[in-house]
Amino acid sequence: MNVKEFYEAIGANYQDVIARLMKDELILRFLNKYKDDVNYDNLEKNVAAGDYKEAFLSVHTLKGLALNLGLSKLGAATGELTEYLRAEGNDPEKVEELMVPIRECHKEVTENLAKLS
Amino acid sequence: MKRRTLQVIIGGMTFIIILTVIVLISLNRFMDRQTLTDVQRIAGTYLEGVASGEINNYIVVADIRYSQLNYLSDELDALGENASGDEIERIAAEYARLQELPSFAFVDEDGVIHTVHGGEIMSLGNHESLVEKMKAKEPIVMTGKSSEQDLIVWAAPASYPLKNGKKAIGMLYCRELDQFVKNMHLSEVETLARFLLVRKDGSYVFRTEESVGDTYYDKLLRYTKPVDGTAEEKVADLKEHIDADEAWSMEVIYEDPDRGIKERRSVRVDVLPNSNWYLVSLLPYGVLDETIEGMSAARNKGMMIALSVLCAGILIVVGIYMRMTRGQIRALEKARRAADDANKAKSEFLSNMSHDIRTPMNAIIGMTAIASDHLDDTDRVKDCLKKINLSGKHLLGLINDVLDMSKIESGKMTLNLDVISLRQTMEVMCDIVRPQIKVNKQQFDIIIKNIISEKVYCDDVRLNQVLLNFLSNAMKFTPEGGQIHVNLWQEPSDKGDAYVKTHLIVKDNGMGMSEEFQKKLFRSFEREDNKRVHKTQGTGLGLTITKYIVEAMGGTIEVDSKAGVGTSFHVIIDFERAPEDEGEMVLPDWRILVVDDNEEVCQSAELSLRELGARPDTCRSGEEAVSMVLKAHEEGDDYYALLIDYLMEGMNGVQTAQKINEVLDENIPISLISAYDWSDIEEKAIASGITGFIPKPLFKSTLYHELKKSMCEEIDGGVEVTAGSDKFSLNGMHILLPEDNDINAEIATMILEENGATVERAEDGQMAVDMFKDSEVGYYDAILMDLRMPNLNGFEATDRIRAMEREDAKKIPIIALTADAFSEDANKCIEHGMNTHLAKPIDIDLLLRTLERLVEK
Repeated sequence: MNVKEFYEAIGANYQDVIARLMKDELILRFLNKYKDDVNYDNLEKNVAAGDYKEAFLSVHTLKGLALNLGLSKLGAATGELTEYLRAEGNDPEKVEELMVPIRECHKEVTENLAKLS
Repeated sequence: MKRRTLQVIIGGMTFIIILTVIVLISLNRFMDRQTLTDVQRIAGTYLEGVASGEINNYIVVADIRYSQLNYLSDELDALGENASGDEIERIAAEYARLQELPSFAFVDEDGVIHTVHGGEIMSLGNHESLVEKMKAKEPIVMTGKSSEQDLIVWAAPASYPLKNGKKAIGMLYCRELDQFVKNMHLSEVETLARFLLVRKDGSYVFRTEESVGDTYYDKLLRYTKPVDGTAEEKVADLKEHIDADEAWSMEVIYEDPDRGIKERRSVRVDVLPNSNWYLVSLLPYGVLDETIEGMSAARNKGMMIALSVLCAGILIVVGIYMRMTRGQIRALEKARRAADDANKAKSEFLSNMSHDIRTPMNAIIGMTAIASDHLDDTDRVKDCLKKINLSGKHLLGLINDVLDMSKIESGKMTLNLDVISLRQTMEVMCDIVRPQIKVNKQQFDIIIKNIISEKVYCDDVRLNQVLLNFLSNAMKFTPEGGQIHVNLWQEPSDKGDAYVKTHLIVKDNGMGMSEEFQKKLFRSFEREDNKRVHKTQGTGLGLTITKYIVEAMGGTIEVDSKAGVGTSFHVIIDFERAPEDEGEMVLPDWRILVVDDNEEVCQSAELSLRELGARPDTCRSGEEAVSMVLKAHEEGDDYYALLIDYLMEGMNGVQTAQKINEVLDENIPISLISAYDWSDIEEKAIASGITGFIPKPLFKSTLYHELKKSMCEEIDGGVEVTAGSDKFSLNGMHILLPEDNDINAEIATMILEENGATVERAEDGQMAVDMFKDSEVGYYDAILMDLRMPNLNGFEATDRIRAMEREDAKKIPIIALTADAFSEDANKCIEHGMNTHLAKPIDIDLLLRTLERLVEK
């Protein structure tokens, strides 16, 4: 699987990404770094611990990262949670509900990242 | 060359004519001789026939005479053996009297003649022979003479007693010689053939006109020249034949000066039976010769005619051949000259080309040398590179032309037909030529009307090539301030509804072309050769290529040019129409005013707008436009948009817009129409309240898309004016990048460095504050601030930086980079003293533009 096919597989717009980052090799390099990024794990950890303030920071960073890498679905999903967590007094059930699409997107991305050559 | 050809032809003709004459003369000679031989043969045969007729005649006469003698001798015999001489003589006399013979006689043993009836026989032609023959009991004929006349004497042997007691040995039956001569046609001279009777010794039996000389032999010797041999030989030969009693013949020329005769004759001698006589038959050729001569003359005449006809024929053929040859030679000469010209043009082209190629090549090499000598001087190097780039492009253009030409010459150029939009093609072309027009300070306008089909099937690249060629020529050969106009219109094609006839005119008022040059305009490798042109560079192939392309598209090119006045190229091509997606192009029923001093543009725009569903009005000047806008306002039906031409007589577009904005508070979007580059007039235009720009040519789709855009922009709340073409560069800028996430930091760093900036990353807000504090004043040109960071977030970091006691603390642009563009964060940024915020992901163009704006301040 090449970079273009990767973006097609996760339903994102390859043209946008390549226009910004110019080269497949660069995109590949950043994508590989995403594998090692801790923000998603931090998000899961903070959500589990009920530390929504930290969770906000994690999901916010994750969103920026996702948008930078052109992972648009993940970006949208994290965006939802970011906006919810921005205010005080969060409902854990609602957070769990918003976490579902984030988990799905993250899974899709990591699965496809594994296939990426 | 020509003289030599003529010589050969005349010589050949003479030779052929002489040869023909010789052949004809020889043929004539041969025919003459052949005729002569034939005539001789015919004459001989004829003479033989005539002679044998004559001999028969003689034999008949002889038979009659002898039968009459027999009758008498029968009667005498009937008297019996004892009959007396008296009785015999009496009966014989009685018989002779009854026969009315001039004489009748007996001859006795002594040879004495006893005449019993008629005139006394005085002499006989050959007395001795008579006795001899009688004794031998053989009949004989001879001439004789009585006391009264010449006689022919038919003698027959007999044995009767005579009165005087003698014994008769023969009877002489005499008749008038004249009668015999008449019967034997011997005296006739008018007949074709003539006869003579001669004796063995050649003496004449009787004389007639023809019996010349003493004897016949004498005549032959004296007057005749035999055709072959001598007279003597012939006479000897004749004598031999006569001795042998054989027939004989010969051909002679008879020449008798006494009688004035000179003619050819055929002569024949036959033996007359029962006589000592020979019949000489002769046939003068007089008549025959005349006939033959007539024949010969006729033949000569015929031959002369044939000769003339032949010669005339040969002359005609040679003439035609010569004309053909001359034509061919002329054609050959022409072809040679054409080839020479082409060759010359090619070598001129080569020398031009080598000059033209060498010039940019030298520039490239020279600039490269300069650049490497001044590696430290960035501006210098930049300038060199720019010039190298230009020269390189120019060189590429030249090479492309040559390659195209060789493609055309080898017939390998093909068209890739595809659906193209004439609008796009024209726009692209305008975009390309605009900068050059600007540099040349020329006036440029493009007028479109009656577009039936915007989308057609055509080879886009080649069509562009054609347009650009005309335009670049027009730009090249038009002086500063000159006008260049492009007209485009369509009309129904003769080829049917599926086609549309498209006219394109590129017109300038430049230097024009001389008439001589126009004739060879489209030939390869030629360029008008005068001093004005020499400073203008080019391969001279452009128009040839153009013409070829247009012809390959099935079109035509017309040129109208006058030296010093200008040039107009008119291209007509029947394009196949492509389906239009017109269905989508509908505008609301906006009231729109089109202002242009060119009526064609107004009409065309009005038509297009009406088709789009808008309500267009047009006027021809700025003043008029102002009053129309006011009037519409009073009517309560304001214009939705105004489209104003930039270049107009009187008030120009910008002035008009200004005036309208002055007199009217309503904020009517005003778009400027122009064939010029927007960036040239942008500043003035925006200042005068112009909100949009519509590039010419005004195709229907152009109008649609531009108006649609202004509609959307209105919703967005403003006109976005795109940045100029010169890209803002981050070269040499130092940017501080506080960003906690590695990947985001790396991406931002990469993009910024790609654009020439030096990036220094801070891992959190505190670090960013420290780094800024430690830096020299003015070291950082900008800070790209992430908002959510551990330790110190973006807002707090900004607060601290702005609060510092240093010169650049308040001034340095701080741009927030955030993932949430439309959230409350955005407002918070401004509150905390940041200049602006940008949403992630980083849009490099937007970032550059923002930096450009902020850093300059």
